[in-house]
Amino acid sequence: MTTQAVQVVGLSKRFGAMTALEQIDFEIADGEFVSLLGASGCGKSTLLRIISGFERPSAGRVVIYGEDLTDRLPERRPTNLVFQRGALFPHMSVRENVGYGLRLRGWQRTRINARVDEMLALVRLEELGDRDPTQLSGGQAQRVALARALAAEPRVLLLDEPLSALDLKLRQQMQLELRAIQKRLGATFVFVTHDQTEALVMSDRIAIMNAGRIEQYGTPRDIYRRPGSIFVSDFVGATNLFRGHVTQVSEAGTTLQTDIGSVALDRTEPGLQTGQRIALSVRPEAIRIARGAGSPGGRQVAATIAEIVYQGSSIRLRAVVADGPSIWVECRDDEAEGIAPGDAVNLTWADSAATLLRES
Amino acid sequence: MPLLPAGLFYALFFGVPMLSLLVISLWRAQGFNLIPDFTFANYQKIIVSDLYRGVLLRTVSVGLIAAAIVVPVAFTLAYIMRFVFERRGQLILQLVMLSLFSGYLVRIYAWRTILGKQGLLNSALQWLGLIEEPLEFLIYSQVSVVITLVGLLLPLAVLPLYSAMLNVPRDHLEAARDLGASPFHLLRTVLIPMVMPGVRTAFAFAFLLAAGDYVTPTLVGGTQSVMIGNIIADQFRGTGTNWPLGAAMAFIVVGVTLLLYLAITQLIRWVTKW
Amino acid sequence: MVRGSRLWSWLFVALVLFYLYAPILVIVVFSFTTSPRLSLPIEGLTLDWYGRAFADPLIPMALKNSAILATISAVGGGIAGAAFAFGLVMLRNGRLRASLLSISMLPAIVPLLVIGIALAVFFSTIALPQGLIGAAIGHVLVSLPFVILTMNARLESFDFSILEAARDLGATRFQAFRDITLPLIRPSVVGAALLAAALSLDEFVVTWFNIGSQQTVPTLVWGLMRRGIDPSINAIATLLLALLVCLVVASNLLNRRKS
Repeated sequence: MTTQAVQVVGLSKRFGAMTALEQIDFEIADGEFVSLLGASGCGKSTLLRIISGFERPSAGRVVIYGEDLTDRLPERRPTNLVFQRGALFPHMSVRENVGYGLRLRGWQRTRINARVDEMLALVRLEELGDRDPTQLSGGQAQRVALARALAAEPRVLLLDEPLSALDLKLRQQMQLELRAIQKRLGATFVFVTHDQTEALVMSDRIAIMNAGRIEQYGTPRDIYRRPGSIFVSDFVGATNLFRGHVTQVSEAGTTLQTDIGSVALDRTEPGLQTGQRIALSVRPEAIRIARGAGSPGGRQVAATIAEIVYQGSSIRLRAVVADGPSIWVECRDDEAEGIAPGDAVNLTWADSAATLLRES
Repeated sequence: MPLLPAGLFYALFFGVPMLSLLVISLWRAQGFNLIPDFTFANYQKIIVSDLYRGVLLRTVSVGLIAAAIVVPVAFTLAYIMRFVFERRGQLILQLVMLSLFSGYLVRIYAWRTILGKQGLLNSALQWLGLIEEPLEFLIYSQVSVVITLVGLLLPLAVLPLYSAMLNVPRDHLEAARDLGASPFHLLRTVLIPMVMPGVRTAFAFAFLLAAGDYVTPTLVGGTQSVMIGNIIADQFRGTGTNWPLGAAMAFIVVGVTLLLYLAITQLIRWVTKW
Repeated sequence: MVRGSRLWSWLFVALVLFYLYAPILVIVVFSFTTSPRLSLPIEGLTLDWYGRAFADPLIPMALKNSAILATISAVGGGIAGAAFAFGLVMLRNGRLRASLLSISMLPAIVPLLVIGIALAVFFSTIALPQGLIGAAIGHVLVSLPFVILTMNARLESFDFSILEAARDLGATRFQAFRDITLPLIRPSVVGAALLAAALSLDEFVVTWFNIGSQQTVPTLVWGLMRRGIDPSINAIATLLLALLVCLVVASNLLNRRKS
């Protein structure tokens, strides 16, 4: 049995009449990089603050490496937090910031210095130790915050949207760096973000949060390929959702009536019943586009191009089904060579690319 | 351009008068006449005289005691308003500041009626049967002077501390605790150093205004609690009428305050040094 | 952060507010009680002290002078202080701005006694007789730091790009000031002026050294206090208090209004 780094059991948090977290149960394995992903107000930051000890849960327990720490004060927990805006102490130098937690633990000065050097090297800021935090750029400040939080070797490192204030290029670079540091240290990271790309790029597992609950918990590939709910499929990546109901279920497959017409699937799913309300999710990049009107029905959809958006490495096309919704298609520039608004096109996709989701 | 009217006003009616007071402090008084001179005799007289030195020492000690009560209480109050009540703290601040504008003389006078020998506190305590005889130390003593001054100065000390704390994000306090700081360490290594300018201003306000007040010792202080302000006031509008001497005393109060301010600043820095 | 800290916080705040407001409460309560001795238990209620207070022959002069001084402080201190604060935020040099702001705070830090005697010495050297003019100058001086401080806080959040927008749309400097700036800052200026009036009404120390044989409400109260315990002081004080509270609350409301 592998050790669980963090176990959250039956956790709820209410602020007055508002419920921030509702019956959360989940586990993070030792050495894992887990992201808590969700829109603002979904409870992800509250969950992180409960793990770090700054909020007390209304119900439930937090167990870290087998030890129940629910009632432990933040300063006594083996977790450290990297704040959204760094929270570097302005009256201390970079070195003093990084060594702060070690001094509180009563380390010898020489040992602190050695450790601070090691940490600054880890975040590649050896040169800036004597600077004031006010003299740092945003990216540098976040690296110092990371070094400070890692200095005392926390058993779990918690990160509260630490990259959200940085510009795109720097953010992408820091994502890879953060992941590399985590791999090198073999440490357990819990990362809160509202940026789905960030979560997909960095995590071993992602917990998608919505309205105080965890909607789905799985690997990035799982989450993207096999979203467990309409919310997840819509929130992670762009998707086309075709809503409707089941018209026929048999051994051979399933037939659906949706807002783009009748759709046949060559598979069925347990518990699916005729008349059940469903949505079919198809990612834009899974849709193939061909010129000319095809035969209606089956697994092809006839549509008219309404709009073409050039995105550099790819293009996005909006196609409109007669009396139906818009369908977004994403493909390489050359795959749609010569297609212009107003053209009649034929859209197809593989059955395996379509995910069947139940309406709740 | 918009700076001009107030700027000129300050120069003419604050700068020049303060300078002329400084000049006068180097003059001599002969009876009711002022003799222009350049002498430090007035300063010397104050330092050498046992009476004046005693009064000066008492003034400094009352100022220090008042500041030593006012600054920690104001600090705690500012902390609560900023970090416990957050937005509602503003309302408490308004209430605290409102008391500042509710009658300076009146409040001092009110303390006399509360603390007096047959005052409210004594009669209430007697009524409750807690004491037999009135507590005499409550009025016309340093106790009553300090009690009154604390009430007057508290709102003034809260303001700079609260604005300094507004500039401290809650994140920084949480970061310190997350890294293992106990509440005591948090105060010493993070919060006080970060609000140091506010602490200094609060101390300067409290000490300087306590040491310079003369209405409070006049109304609630006894013969044993005369402060330098009473003697200065006497030189200008009272029995003394020695302007140069009074002017020199005023500058000694300001000078002593400056020295104490530097000393206290160093002391706090040394205590929070880590 | 710590459990139960809210309860302790409430308790602490309540104690401090009680300490600050107890004297005020005492004055107001005893301005209505029959017993001339301030003691417990309270015997009966009366409005006699208010009648006695207004029977004082010095009261009309004191009221008139206080009103004159408060008006001068409000108009003079309010306008000059607001203009100064406006000039400060327009300065590009941050260092200069910060040091000018600190210097302008000096009259609030120097003990009133020292300001009072310095002005008295100055007026006697320029042979200005003691009286209302000297007192008025003192009142404006004492109110300026507070006006500048509140105006400065208000103007720091002022969005100057809207003035550039007005200029860009064709307004002259003056028109931009008249059409944009003035309507936006007027509530704050009025608020600061009311604050100056409140400070002036309550001012005693500087007045006392410079007003000579004239009287204001605080110097009148001072005279009564020196003579001993007189319940009509409570009545005058309560009225003064009510006036001050109205001015300060109105000033606060005006300053709080969002632009």
